Amino acid sequence: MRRIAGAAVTLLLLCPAGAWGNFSLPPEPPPELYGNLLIRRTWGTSRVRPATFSHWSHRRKYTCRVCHSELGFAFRTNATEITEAENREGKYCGACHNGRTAFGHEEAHCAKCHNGNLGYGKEKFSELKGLPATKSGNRVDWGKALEEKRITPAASLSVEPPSDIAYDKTLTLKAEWAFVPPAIFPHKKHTDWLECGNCHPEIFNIRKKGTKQFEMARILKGEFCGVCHLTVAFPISECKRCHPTMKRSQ
Amino acid sequence: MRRRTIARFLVLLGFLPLPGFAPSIQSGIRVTLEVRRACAQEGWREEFDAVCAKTDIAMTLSRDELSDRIGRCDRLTARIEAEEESTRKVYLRRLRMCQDLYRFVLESKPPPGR
Repeated sequence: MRRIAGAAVTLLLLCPAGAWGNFSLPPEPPPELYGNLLIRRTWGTSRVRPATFSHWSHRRKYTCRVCHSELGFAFRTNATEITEAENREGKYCGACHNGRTAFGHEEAHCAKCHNGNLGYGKEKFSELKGLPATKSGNRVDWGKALEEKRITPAASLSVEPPSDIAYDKTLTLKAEWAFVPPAIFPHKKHTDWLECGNCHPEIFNIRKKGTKQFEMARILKGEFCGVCHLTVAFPISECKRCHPTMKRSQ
Repeated sequence: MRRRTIARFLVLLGFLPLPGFAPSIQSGIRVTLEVRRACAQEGWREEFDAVCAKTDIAMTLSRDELSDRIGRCDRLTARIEAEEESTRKVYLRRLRMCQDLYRFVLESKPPPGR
């Protein structure tokens, strides 16, 4: 009996808490709500309802860099101080929502964004049917859709479109635990959507070689890959897309 | 004498169609200032685009080129700081991202002679 208890204790000590299989992955919303968010910076101090934003409806037309680099939207929700006046001046949402490219800031359109409804516009989700499918997130393989030119999002609004980023090295990152196969990081798949400055050095400041810092626990807290792969890009429950030699997924 | 009268008449004619010429002069000055401001903005916008629109080539730049770009970002920061609030907010953030990337790439490059 003592031997069994001893073996159990040893086993527990050997397997770090939160090891593979024990990760508590965040609950996933329905496909049409994945990547949707409410911008509620002034909610509580003003009577204006939070503005709804759907990533899936925008990423069909623009790459991530357009908003998160060119227009200055931070990756964190509510981290950007967007004002109505600035929108009307053509900044932030107003760069497109000007009545020419997309509906403008006239009173008739207020409720299209300021409705406090995370699921607003979900009837348009059916337009994504026919795009390459996956099992999670929006159920759309956005990378593949781009590669196959099923979607052709613009990479720029005003600045000369960046040429194809030449750096396409795929990194292999050793996992924390011996029983987890390495993760891969294909730069190309990311630079198709983003530009270098989106990730370096703010999110990934890798001056020293080594991947110890990219722990899954920290990713799950929204750091590193978790900045996008918990909320907008394919969710981390799709283990095999980063750890391709992993035997099981989800 | 006749010429002077004609000149006066022409000057008067120029202002007559306006309900009051003082506001029109003011608006003229305002337009001129706006144009001047826009031109000044164009100046830094061009430099901003030249420095920051091509961050994708950061990896291929030499240490000297990276240092030069970092310096240009510093100079641009000073110029953008003189702009109105929302321009400052949007462009300074982008400029910081771009400068941070150049610094990061510079620091990641092996020092000369290694």
